[in-house]
Amino acid sequence: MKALILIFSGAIVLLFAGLGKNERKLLPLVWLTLFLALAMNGLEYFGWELPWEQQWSSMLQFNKFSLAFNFLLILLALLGSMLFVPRLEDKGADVFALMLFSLCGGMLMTSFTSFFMLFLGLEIMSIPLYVLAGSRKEDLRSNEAALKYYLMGSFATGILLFGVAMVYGTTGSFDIYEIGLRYTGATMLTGMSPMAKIGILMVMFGLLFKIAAAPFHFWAPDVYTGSPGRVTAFMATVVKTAGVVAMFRLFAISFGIADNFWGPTLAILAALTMFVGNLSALRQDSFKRMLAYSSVAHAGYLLLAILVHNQNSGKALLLYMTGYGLAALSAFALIHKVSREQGREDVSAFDGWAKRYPVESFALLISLLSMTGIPGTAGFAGKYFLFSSAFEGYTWLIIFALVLSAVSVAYYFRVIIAMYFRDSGNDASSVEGSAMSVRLALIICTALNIAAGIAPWFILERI
Amino acid sequence: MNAESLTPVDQYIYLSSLLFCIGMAGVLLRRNAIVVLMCIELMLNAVNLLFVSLSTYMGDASGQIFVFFIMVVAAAEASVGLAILVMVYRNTRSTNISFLDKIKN
Amino acid sequence: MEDAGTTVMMNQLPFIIFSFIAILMALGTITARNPVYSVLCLILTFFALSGHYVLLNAQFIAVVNLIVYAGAIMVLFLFVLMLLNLNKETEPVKSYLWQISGAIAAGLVLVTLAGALKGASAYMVKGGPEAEGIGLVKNLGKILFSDFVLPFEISSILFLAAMVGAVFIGKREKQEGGANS
Repeated sequence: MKALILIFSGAIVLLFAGLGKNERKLLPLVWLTLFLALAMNGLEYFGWELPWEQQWSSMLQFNKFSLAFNFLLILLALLGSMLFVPRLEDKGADVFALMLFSLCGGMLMTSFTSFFMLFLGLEIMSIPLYVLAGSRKEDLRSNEAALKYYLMGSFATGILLFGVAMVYGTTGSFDIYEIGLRYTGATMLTGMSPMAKIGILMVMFGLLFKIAAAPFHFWAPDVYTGSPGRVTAFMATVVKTAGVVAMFRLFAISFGIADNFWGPTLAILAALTMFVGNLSALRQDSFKRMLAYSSVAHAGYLLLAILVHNQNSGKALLLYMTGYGLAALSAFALIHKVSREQGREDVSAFDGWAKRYPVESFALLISLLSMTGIPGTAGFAGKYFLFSSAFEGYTWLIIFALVLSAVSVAYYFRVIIAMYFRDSGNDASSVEGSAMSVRLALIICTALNIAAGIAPWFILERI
Repeated sequence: MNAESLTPVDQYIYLSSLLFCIGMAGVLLRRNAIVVLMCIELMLNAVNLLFVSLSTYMGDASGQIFVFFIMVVAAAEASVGLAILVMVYRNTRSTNISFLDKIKN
Repeated sequence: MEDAGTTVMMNQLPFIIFSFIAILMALGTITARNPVYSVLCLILTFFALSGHYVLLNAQFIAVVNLIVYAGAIMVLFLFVLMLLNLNKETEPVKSYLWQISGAIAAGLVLVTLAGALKGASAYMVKGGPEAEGIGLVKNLGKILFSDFVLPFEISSILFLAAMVGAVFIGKREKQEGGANS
């Protein structure tokens, strides 16, 4: 709660600071806010609680689970704000303030205990993003991304709300624990009513839209490609984490009892998501678009955690999101760098990168290895724990996921081969060093990724 | 008017489902982004009707509070959406949602 | 028996009228070729829905619905339509295949919903007699500012974010020469 308030006030201060002429002080202010929030979140995690915080436990509940995920969200936002040096045209304070607002929404989604907060959190997260996706106002692709994301997002909200209404109709409550209790009772007595089933399905579809799972993923590639790099990275990491965690909470606590009803549906959709994501990524030439599809594929793996919805899969989810978030952040940052230098985003733009940018290439190498799931990286550890937690109930799905992970090697390694084993036509004269903050953030991402891969227990024990 | 003379809640559920599906059909059928936006508003209103009827039927006021929040969010969303539309219109002189399939190449 | 039937019919009459208007106008919204007619149809739908809210004893929501939806949001739509001069029938027609598949998809959803929700009220908890006055401002205000005060406060983040976003999107880019150094 305190971290949330801190971020919100930081955003307001930032807006006022943006009125002044000195635009160079804005970015450090963002870092300061996020850093303080990170520290505050850590304090909260270790038990610092003010007396007035308990009284809203019927709306928001900050336990170890939600605080661990909030820590991850703030960390990803902080690293994200360091990795993307603003261009001249999008300097102003409003972009950063909108990101902080969106982060507030994401933090609400990890800690809600009532549908009120889920709905508000979802909207607080999405509305700034609709704007941010279009923040490059002259660029038609950015415009389309904003419009598409907006229309799809509000359509999904409508479907979600219809589902919430059905759930409300069958339980008479908005509290997720209360709903869980009512459904447990109802299942024992008479079985789930058709109305409750429709409600659960519509809530599921609405949330799947937000995390870009098939068959509701069709907006994702266009929106990810069209949005400015910083926003794409934010969507692929912070927004996806918040969406999956919200879904996990809801389906574990409220709808867990009915999982033999929604489980098969979700399992099929997870398989479809992995399949579509991986196979479409294979055919892309643009690296950014490839990563967009790979983000769809990762959403498929993440759905496994929701299918199992127990303590272990929650832990695995945290580890997986850490690995994927860190990897995706640095990958999107380096795409941003390439497209700024060469004006293109396809794989061949990375030819001979290793010679020109050893540090950046290494960071990209680690993040791609992590996304593939090579041992020694956080991605491997996350996949290992996630798959092993789901292995008993969904063996066929895990085997399918493993096969598709193997397929994903093909497209991730294309980039690695381009970086390390191809020569670029032009020589090393056009080297343009990254800014200090970018380099620092890349090193942090890479180091954390490897550390989490070597000692995953440190993260797993946080929940 | 006492509770017995109210129309059965089932009929309200049917009515709001019908309105919701009409809105959904509009989202799928129309190309003008403003009309699509209006159809989304129609869907939200169908949900509101459902919430209010359920709330009255169950005698629980929190459903009506939820409707209040849906209205709050819809207002915020509509203002942002219209701003995005105006921006798109400025650049392309059109509000047709299929104007930009050029992003694919 | 006949007398009772007539009473039920009389009680049902407002419901039937409002439902008829709502459905007709909703269909008008999605079929009108001119966006301005769509807006006007939608406003009439909202009026019909407000009538339903009054029938359902939700007077506060009925009034707020008129003020917020019909009064504010729809005027905003109309304003944008007029500003962009979109009150002409410029929309290209989608192919018949697309139209038919869209209509079938929505129809399927409707059939599924109607089938699944048949007799749904049997599963619901019915409120007691104290449910009479819940839709009044007094009662709703009491609940809003006690049980739901946190969401109410949190929605300020939403409004601030939406406001900043709308201003950010709406403002013109700085001129090239005027960009500060």
